[in-house]
Amino acid sequence: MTIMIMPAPADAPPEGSLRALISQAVPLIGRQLIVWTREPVTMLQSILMPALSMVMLKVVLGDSIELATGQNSAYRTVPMIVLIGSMFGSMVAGIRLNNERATGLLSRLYVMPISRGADLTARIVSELIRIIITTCVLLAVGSLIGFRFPNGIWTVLPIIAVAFMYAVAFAMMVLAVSVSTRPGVTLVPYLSLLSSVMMFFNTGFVPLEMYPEWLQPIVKYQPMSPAVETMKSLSLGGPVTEHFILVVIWSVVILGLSIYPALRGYHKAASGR
Amino acid sequence: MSAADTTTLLGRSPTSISSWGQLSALTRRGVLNVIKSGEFIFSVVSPLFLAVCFYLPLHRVMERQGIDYAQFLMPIIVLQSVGFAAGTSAMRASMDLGTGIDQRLRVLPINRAIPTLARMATNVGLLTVSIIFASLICLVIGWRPQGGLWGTISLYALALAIGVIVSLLADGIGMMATSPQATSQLTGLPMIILGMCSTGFSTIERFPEWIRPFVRNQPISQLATAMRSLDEGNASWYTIGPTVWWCLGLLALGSLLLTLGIRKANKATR
Amino acid sequence: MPEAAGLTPDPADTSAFPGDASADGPHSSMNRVARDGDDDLRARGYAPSTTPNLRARRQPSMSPDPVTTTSRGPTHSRRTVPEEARDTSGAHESGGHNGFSGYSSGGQYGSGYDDDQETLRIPITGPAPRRLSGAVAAAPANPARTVHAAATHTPATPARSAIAIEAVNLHKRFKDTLAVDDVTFSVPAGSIVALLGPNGAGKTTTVNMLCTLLKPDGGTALIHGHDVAEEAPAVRRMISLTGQFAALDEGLTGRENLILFGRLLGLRKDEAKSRGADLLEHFGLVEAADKRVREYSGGMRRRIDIACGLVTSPKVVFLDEPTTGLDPRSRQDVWALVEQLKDAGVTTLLTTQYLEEADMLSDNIVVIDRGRVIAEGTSDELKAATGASYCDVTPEHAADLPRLLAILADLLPPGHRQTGLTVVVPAPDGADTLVEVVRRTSESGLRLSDITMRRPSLDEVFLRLTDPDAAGDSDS
Repeated sequence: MTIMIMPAPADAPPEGSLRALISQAVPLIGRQLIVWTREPVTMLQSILMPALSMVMLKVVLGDSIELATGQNSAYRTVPMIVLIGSMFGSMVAGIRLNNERATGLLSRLYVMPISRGADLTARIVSELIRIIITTCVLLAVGSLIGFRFPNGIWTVLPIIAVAFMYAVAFAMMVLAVSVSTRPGVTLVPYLSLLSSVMMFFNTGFVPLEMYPEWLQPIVKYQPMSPAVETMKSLSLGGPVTEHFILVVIWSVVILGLSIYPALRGYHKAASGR
Repeated sequence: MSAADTTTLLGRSPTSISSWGQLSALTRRGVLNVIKSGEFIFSVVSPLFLAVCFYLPLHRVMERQGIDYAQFLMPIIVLQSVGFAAGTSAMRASMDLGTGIDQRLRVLPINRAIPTLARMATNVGLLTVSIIFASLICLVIGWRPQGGLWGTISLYALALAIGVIVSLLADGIGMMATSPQATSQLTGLPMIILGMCSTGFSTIERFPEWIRPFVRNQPISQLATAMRSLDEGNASWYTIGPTVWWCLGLLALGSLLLTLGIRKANKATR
Repeated sequence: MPEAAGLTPDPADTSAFPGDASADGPHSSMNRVARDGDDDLRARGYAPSTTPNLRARRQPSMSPDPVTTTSRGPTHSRRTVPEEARDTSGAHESGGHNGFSGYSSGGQYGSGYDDDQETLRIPITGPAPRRLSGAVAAAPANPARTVHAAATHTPATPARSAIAIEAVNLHKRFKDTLAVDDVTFSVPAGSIVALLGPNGAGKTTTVNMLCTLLKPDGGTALIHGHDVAEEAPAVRRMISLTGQFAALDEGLTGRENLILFGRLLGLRKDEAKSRGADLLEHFGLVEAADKRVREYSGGMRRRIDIACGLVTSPKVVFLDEPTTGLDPRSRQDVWALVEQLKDAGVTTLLTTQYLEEADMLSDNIVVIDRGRVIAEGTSDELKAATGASYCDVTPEHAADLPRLLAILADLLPPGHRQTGLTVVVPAPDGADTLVEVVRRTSESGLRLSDITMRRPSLDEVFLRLTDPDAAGDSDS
């Protein structure tokens, strides 16, 4: 029995071309999304856990916070959980990258005659898609526990945009970290710890005045807080611009610092088996 | 091979074996593992994490309701570290099964109860250390024991008793479960839900009406109430009674699971 | 440009496997198979090769096209180089029809071709000048010479196509470690070569350089004539890499993995699907096709891994420890597969720690230690080269063993340790040693149950070659 020969198609685009990048990123994006929806763990961590946390925070602490602030706690909790959800979702992607590096899939893709950036692009784009989907789902759940849109339902769009901006920067950072560490050493648990701490120390958890004075500057300017404040103000009303500027600054800085290490780290990770 | 080589290779059998020696050897191994694997660090870090993350943001919020949050939080912080130590005991049991050490030990001339006892000894050791650290951290955030000598002693006795019982339970679960991953999945999420939806973090009045029955009667709330009353010195059968019943029940369950687990492990072939 | 890269088959070239019509037998057998089921194959999207087409194509294309030249460094004398190779200052194939026209005709000339070659054999010495990519052939400026060459020596490029992998003085340094010092070897197309060496010898780094994952710090490597550093995209179109662990998406099913690889390699979705189905059937994975790869057994995993590497036919397959960790049956399956690859004309380079595997499968073995090639040759050549033969002597009665040892004491090496009943006597004099042993034992009346001469096993060869103490005195 002989192995049938199938020649490479004559019209395969040259590696360096944009056409190659796009046509090859598409099936790779497909695979990321298929696996994301298929694995119970990722769906759990991306959607179920944040939704559950949202509900629990409302049940356990909602009343206390409302007593202290006079506002429905959902307006703080829901934006915060939306951000947290994206953050933990990115970690899942980071772990997946690490695993694929360990099994050699990264190298194998790099040895194939495909665009050098196809896989990385696919990962980033699938992250973007995931972020949008989870944000929408979590906002829907949030509306059940009290996050409404008194200023009009159209405010959903800028809210999603802000969440998106934050999440993209964070996702790129996670990617850069995952790809730059030596194989075997994974920094993702530390990132996970950092995210958990950030969750308790941002103005989405309790209002700024509730924190001890010496902590307030840190809490105020922590990347999550301006994003939460912007989203809250967009739906409830209140100062948007000053917080939004901070969101933009943080996003640009984190993204800027992460892109080059991510690219370079990916190249190194794929080249070394 | 010469006779001398053979002796070097095979050694000589000892004339008698001391059970106490075996127990202390295995316990020592358990303790060293705990230290090396970093679980020890976690037993310090997790109560710290809990205290810092809940006390700092929330104590002013709770002050509005007239609650001294440091006093209020103490039971749950101690319980959390107890729960953590117990949880890792489940992992330990499961891993011993998984790596086959359990089977290896069963083939040695060693009493069947000793490996389990050694594990329990390790657990109790870790437990004690956790409770000490948790208390230190509570002292730092402002907790002060208010129950008098007897109150404080019974407080700690209760905490330790709970720890032992839960360790037993967790050990049994660990031996029954199929893998370490399954174990942590089994125990992780329910613990979080039980912990949050209890009077450990918030008073019962702040919960929505529909969930109050659950919150009031679940074991963690009972334990927290019992510990608080011991700490405040106004303990009575009303506050401690349900806790005692829960402890006895869990003890029975734990012993049952452990027996079943040992029997299952004995049957297991590899 | 893809055409200049010489890899994208010319649309006019209907051979299924550009280059499969070259001089060698294995390829022509492939042609034959393809021809039998042409219509069937065509219906499924394969392009069958048909010799008549080739012949028809050959005539017009030969004369105007200058044939490809290759420059190369130290070569084995047995390889022949066409006269055009002299013209190596930078001549390359022009665009349009590629050098395959040269050896597409080669297969038909038979012995006459060889005679031609005889007269033109030119040993090339000296370091290989690097190929200048993109330089258009100087030949059009010299049509007379080209025509002459084409007329008398049209099948001029088998030399180039005949070498699948050519590594010359490869050198790679990582910060403070010298991973590969000086590795040089060649692999003829359609053969199987095994890279053998202890851990840390530089095998993986060498393979990484050949796969375009790493750029060599020094030296060159050519895959079918294309430089791995300069023409990496072209090289990637020809190769496939299968690592020690199954490098697949564990969350996807086997079928989905195959389709993914197919689409990445440029097949349309339906083509990828049918190709995937064919491969699944060939590798016996149809029942497991829709299960996630995570759930596959070790052998199945290896099979789907290799299958994914064959979606669009590579010319060179790199297998890194393909049978490590597999049970004997799966190992046999992989070996059968490698043989099939060879029949299909694919060149295989495998790294292995199983000497038996290297011994059985490979046409050539390259032993690497500490970043250098310390021995190269077929299994037999290596065994002969290490020099040692052994004479196994077994006494009939176990009680005679001490006496036997005493009789042969001076023939045994100083640190000889006796295990079991058979005395292993080094036989530097070959059969003379055997005669001597027989003489001595018959003189003393000691009966033997068995006495044999044997060559060293590959284990012994390998240990000897990589033994730091023996490195000095064994001539590899």
